[in-house]
Amino acid sequence: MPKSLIQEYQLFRVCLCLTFFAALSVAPLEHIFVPAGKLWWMYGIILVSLLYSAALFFTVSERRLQMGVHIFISCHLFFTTGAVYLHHPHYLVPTFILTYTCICIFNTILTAWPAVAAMNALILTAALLFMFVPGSGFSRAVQTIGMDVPFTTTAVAVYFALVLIVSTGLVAIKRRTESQLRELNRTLNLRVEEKVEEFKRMDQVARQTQEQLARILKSIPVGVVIMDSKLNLLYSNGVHYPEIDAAGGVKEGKDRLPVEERKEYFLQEQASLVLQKGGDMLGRRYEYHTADKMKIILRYSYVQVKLSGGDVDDAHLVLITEDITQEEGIREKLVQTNHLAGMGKMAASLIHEVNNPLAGIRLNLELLEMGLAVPEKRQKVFYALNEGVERIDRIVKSFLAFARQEHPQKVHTDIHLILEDILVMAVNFKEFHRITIQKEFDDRLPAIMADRYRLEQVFVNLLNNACDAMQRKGGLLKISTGQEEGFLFVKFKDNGIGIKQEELHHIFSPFYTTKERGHGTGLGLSTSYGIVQEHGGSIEVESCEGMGSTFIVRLPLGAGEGQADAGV
Amino acid sequence: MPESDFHLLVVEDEVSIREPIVLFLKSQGFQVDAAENGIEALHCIRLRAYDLIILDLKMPYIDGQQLTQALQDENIRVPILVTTAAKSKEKLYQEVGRLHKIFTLKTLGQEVRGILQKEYPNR
Repeated sequence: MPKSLIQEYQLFRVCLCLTFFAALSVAPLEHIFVPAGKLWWMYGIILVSLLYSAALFFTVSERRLQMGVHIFISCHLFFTTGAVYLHHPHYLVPTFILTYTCICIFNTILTAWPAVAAMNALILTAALLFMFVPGSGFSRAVQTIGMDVPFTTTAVAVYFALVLIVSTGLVAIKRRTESQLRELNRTLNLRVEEKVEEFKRMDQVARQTQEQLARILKSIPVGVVIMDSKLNLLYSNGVHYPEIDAAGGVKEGKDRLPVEERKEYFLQEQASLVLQKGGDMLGRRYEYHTADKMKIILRYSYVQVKLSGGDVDDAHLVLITEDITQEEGIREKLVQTNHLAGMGKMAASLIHEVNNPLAGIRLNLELLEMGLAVPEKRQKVFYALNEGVERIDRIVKSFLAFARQEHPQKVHTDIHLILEDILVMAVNFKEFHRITIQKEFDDRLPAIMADRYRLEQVFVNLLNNACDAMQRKGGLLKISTGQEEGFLFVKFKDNGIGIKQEELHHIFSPFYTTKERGHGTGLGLSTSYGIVQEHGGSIEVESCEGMGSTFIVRLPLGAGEGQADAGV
Repeated sequence: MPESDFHLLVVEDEVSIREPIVLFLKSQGFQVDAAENGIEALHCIRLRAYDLIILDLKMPYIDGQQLTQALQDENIRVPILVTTAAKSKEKLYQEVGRLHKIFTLKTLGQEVRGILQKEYPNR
C-alpha cells in the first residue's frame, strides 16, 4: 500500500506508462490505437486520469493541487499525442517521446523528490528498452517514416540521458535551495517563538500587575470609582460605592448607601458639576446613614485623568472616597479640648481682670465706711462703684458666652458681629492694652451660613496668637474683611515676631506650639483649621520672621450648600 | 511723725482704685500726687523728690517694672510700695513693700506708715 499521496500518484503514473509501453510493444500500432478507427481506450485513460485529478483537486493541500494540475497537463499531452497519431501516425513516437519528456521534467521540478526523479528515470529507461526491442512499435515507426534506426535510437537515448541529467541537476539545486530555506525558516521560527515567549511573559507580568493593582485597590480603605467623560461607570473597588463585577452589575454591601441615592449624588450631581467646571474637586464632605443608622462621613475628591493618552474626550473622572468618621470624631474632641483650654486661659485672666474692679469697689466702699467721702465726692464714689460692678458683669458675661458649649449649628451669621463681640471682650483684657487694633470692615459683606460660636473660637484663637506675637513690644493688629471669588475673607495682620519658615508647615498640626510652656496648648490653630474646613473654607498664613504674620480665613459666601445639606 | 512732711506719689491707671487711695491718704494728712501711668509718674518724679511711691505694676505704655528700670537708670532712689494682682515674687529696684490686690485702705495706711518709719526714722 502506498504510504502517502505522492507515492500513490507515482505508482499510478508508473502503471499507466508501463501499460502504455507494453501495449505499444506487443501489438502493431494500427491494431491498438484504431481497432475500429475509434479512440475509445484513449478516451478511457483520459477519463480515469481526469477523475483522479479531480479527486485530488478537491482536496485542500497545496501538494494535492500541484499534482492535480500535473495530471491534468499529462492528460492533455496524452490527448495531443493521440490526436497527432490519428492524423499523422508516422509522427507518433517522436511526439510521444517529446511529450513524455516534458511531463517528466515538469514532474521532477514540481515534486523535487529524489524518489520521483528515480521513478522518472525508470520510466525513461523502460521507454529506451521499448525503443531497442527489435520489431517494437518504435523501430517499426522509425522504419515507417524512413529514418535510420540505430541513429534515431542513439539520438533519442542521448536525449533521454540529457533529460535525466538536467532533471537530476534541477532536483539537486532545488533541494539545496529548499534546505537553505528550511534553515532560514527554522531560524525564523525560533525567533518568532522567542518573541512569542517574551510577549507571553510580558503579558503575564502585565496581568499580574493588573491583578495586584486590583487587589491593592480592593484592600485599601479608600473608595475608587472610575467614570468616563460621559459619566458611564467603568470601575469601582467596592469600598464606598458598590463593586462592579465583570458583567457590569453592581453588588450591594451592608454598610453602603442605597445605590440609587449615591448614584444620583456622586455619579450625576457632583460629577457633572466637576465636568462643567473643569479641573478637580478636592476634599469635599458627604454624610450618610447606613441601614443600621450608623453615621458615616466621607471625604471625597474628583480627579480628571487621561487614561489612554488621547485627546480631551478620553479624560476619565476618578472619584476617591475616604471614610473620615473616626477622624472627624477626634477632630470634634480636639475642638472641645481647645475650647476647654481657651476657657482655662480665659478663666485665669478673668480672675485677674475681675480683681481690678473688685479692688476699686472695695476701696470705694471703705471710703464710704470711713465717712471720708464728703458729700460732693460721694457722687463720684457711687459712680465708681457702679462702674466697677458693671465691668465685672461684662467680663463674666463675655466669659459665659465663650464657655457656652453648643453643638455645631449653622445659621445666618454676620461675621462683623462676631468680630465686634470678641473685640469688645478683648479690649477689656490688659494683654491688649499695648496693642492697637485697626478695623477695616467691608460693609457690603452678606451674612453667611455658619456656626457662630465655632467661628468665634477661630477668631479668638487668631486674636490670641496675634496678641502673643506682639506681647513684648506692643504693636498694630489690622483686622480687615472683604470678598473675592465667591468667598469672604477675614485677615488678621499683626506686626509681631512672625513665624519661622520651617515652622510654617507645622503650625496647623495639633499640639504644635512655639509658645512657652503653659502658654499654649498647640490646639488653637489646628482646631481653627478644622472648624473653617468644616465650613467649606480655608485658613492661610503668610509670615516673615520678625516682621509679623497675616492669617487669612476664607469662608464660602454660599456656605452650607453641599456641606450643610449632607445631613448635618 | 507729722504726716504732712511726707510727699507721696500714687501711680495707678484704674481711676476707681486711684481716687480712693488718694482721698484716703490725703485724709490721713499726707501730701499726695497721683499719676495715671508710667510716663506721667516719671514726669512727676523728675520734677520733685518723693518719700514713697505707691506703684501699680500693670499699666499701659510704661508699666511698673519699666518705671523702676528707668529710676534705676537715672539713679533716683525712692522707696516703692508695689500694689499688684500678679503673683510674681521678683523684687524690683527700690521695692520696700508689696500689697496684693485686693487690699483695704486700712492695711494700706498701716503699710505706708510702717515703711515711712523704717525708711525715715529720724523725722
